[in-house]
Amino acid sequence: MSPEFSANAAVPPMVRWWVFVAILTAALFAAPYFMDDAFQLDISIIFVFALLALSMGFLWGYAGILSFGQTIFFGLGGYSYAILALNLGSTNLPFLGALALPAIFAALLGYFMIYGRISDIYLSVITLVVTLIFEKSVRSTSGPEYVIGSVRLNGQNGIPGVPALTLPWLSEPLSISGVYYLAGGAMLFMYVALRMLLTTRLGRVLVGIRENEKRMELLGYDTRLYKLCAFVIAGTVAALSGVLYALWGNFVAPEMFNLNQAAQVVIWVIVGGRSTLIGPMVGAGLVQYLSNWLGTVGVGQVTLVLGLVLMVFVRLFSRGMLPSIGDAIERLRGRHNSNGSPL
Amino acid sequence: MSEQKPILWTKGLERHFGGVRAVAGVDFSLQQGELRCLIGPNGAGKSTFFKMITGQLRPSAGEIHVAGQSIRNAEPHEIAARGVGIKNQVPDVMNGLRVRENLWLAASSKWRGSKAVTAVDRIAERLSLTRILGRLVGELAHGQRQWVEIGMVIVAEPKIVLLDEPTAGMSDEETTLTAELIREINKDMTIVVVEHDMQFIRQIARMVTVFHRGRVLMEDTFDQVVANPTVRDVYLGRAKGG
Repeated sequence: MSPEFSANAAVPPMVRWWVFVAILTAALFAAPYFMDDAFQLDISIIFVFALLALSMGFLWGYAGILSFGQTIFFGLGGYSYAILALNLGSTNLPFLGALALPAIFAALLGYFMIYGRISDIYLSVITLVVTLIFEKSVRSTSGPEYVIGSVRLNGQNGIPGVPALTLPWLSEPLSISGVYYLAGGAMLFMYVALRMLLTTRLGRVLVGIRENEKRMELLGYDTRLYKLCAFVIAGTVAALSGVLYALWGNFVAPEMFNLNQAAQVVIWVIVGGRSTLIGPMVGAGLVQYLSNWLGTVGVGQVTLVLGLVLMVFVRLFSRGMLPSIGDAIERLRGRHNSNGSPL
Repeated sequence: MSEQKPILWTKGLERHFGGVRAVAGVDFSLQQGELRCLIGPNGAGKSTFFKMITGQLRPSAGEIHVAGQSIRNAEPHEIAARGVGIKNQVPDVMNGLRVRENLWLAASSKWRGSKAVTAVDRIAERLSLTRILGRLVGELAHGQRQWVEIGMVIVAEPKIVLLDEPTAGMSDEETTLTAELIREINKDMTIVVVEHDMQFIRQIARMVTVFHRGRVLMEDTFDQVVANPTVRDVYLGRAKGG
């Protein structure tokens, strides 16, 4: 997996990476034959969160932008799909609309922050504040007057009965297995797409900006434009995750925007490691699995235990789990081959 | 040469930091194809002057023109696109990326596809970096990083190259090679070099501009400048007033 690590991101993936993707794809498609519906649901939500973590991993790890509020787009994606699908009575156009609207919002928000040249720390704060504003605003829409088209926003109760997606080539709405395949497929597709993006000029310039923005400007790059592109791409991926979340639970709620959710995304990326794309996804899976397991074995203070686990993780794997494992493998290889270059 | 319009000129250029006038009214003119050295004691305003030319700092007053256009309010990337490249005093590279990627990013600001790759190979060969193209820049010695940065600046063939202390931290051999390189690239590019190493300046410079307390103290040939008693006093710290 080392080709994906930051310094090697520009190099097109090697054969072994494609083999890894092929195995993942095969496992993803075969798994439902060995799982019941409940287990498929559990795995589907991990895919949804892995996609959200991927959006943050790309933005933070490769473009150097820590958006504390990826949940803005996660929530907007979910709400846009719910409102559009319930109003229009169809699902395909709302699916696309629910990606486009958050993307437009990301472009606007990103434009004012990035072209306004606010510092990185303020960008983190502003994105966090924006997601909290969304949460607060949505929570305060419980009255009957808060209606978009024919859909009541329902405040903190959220919008139930979000229609399942009916793909254009299918006559039936997606079943539990369908949602599993859609979420898993979307996660894998975006992982491969973003990995390939890193080998393009845009991806390579973004990594250059993360490494030394001033130097990139002095080389003639309008870094603001590239950062805005990254922000919009990551926002759209987060929106896709939000739509899938709505499809998974047939439900959207203000919690999609809240601080707990926003902080979790950051934790997933920290645990998995932000200098890879796969790391944040694995981080999301692990944390999600752990919190589910802690819940089922009856540990009362799930958040407290997760906090302790996070502290141990940060202490043991300062760069995140996957990069630390990658480093250890590199060191072992170096020991076996004294002439081994760091390549 | 004086008949030509200058490729770079400044008039009354100033930069204040609070009450300190780091650059206090510099009139400077550079003809196309020149190789000029800027000298002066620490704090004379040379690096601040470079930063204003490249848009890293906005002037407090005065004018800067590059190739006939004012760049007073231009962004750094716009100035770079007009053909001004700079190597800053401290190596300013992407330490976490490999030498090849650093050079490619620089080349890609001008070229696409195979042209950028060819430019990288060409510059790597010219600067003897081919052997270390796969190394992480952060793992290189200081002198090698200086060369990587020089490579990054010249790979896109800018019209004007500003080099701020290009030989800092280099061995004698590397310094001599750098002097040769600068003379060679001067065949295609206009160059301004800030340096303290007088031996190095002797090897490359025809004209020298002396900065002192944010102003141009004098401008003449190297021999005239080193023979000037005021310049010697400035370097020895005995100058009176400005």
